[in-house]
Amino acid sequence: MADPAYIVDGVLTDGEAWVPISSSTPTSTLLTLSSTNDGQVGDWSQYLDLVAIVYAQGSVAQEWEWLKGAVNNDYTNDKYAYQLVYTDGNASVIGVKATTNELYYGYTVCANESDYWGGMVVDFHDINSGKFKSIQTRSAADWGDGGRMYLNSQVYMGQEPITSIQMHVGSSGSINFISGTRIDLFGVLPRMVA
Amino acid sequence: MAVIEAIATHYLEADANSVEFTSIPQTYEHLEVRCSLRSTNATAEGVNNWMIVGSDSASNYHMHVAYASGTAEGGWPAGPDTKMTLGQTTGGGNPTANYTTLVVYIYDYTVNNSGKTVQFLAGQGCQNSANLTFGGNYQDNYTTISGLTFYFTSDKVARGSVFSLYGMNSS
Repeated sequence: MADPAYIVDGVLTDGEAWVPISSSTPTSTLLTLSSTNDGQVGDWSQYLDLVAIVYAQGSVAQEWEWLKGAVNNDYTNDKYAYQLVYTDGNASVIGVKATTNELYYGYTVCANESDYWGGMVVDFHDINSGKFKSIQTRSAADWGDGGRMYLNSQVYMGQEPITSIQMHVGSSGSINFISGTRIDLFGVLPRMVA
Repeated sequence: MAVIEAIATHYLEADANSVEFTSIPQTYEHLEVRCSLRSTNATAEGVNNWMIVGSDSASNYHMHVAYASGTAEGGWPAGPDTKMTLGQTTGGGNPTANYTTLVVYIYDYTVNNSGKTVQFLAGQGCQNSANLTFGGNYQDNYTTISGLTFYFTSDKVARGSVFSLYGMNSS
């Protein structure tokens, strides 16, 4: 079995703190990212945080839709809570607080606006702790005659480590990701040597 | 040299009056601090996060923020102040497993011919009381940055909080 890059000749070192784990180009309705649990780069148990950089479009015939999902494939009612602030560029900034059964990552542009894409950065904090897990999102999308920007702090009210992440356009799992969607996942290491 | 390097990580195994990073190397271009934190305040749902740079507790800090808590939202400027504001952190008003997230970017921290620019996003998506703050701070001090101190006004930083400092290079 290969060692992670931060173990050189059996010695722990501090290399790149942001480790590229995977790049995904989904075209179906559901993307699941999972820890490999094998002690290598894809094993999430070594990371302090995870960061996902998302560039996505949905197949449904409308201007935009939420990119939603879950952690640990947990869609239990009221397992998530969020505080978000958003604007569509016309209305003033609006604050919303709610409890839900899924994560709200941000906005994807959809098939009615095929030249436009939604972008977001999602931070999963302290994923191996015994805390409730906090997820922070910065999302913005413009589709020419419309657009939205959005900041969101969410909590997953589960104390087990995050070992998988689900992403899908909308809630139902019936909308495909459009080809060209790209989701890159990075692991963020702590300082490991004195 | 790594493009993003972990400079130091503090895991609080006991409550602490503050969290400090000292002797920060001057070899990076920007700094990032990633935090998962909680206050020891027994009842508060949100206490203010403060940060000072080095030993600068003079009235050198200015800020603008956008803020939301529930359906309330707003934005305002503040300063000059003796400390930098970085949003709010949960205390005993929310369940003990709730910790707030805070990510802070400190730009061009080794420059010695201008003040310093700091950007942050802080938030807690708690089921009881939630808030989110996005803002920018300016430190009107030309001294290069070699130390950072995070603290609350009168409460301690709770056990289990994590602060990790990263340095960013362009190559």
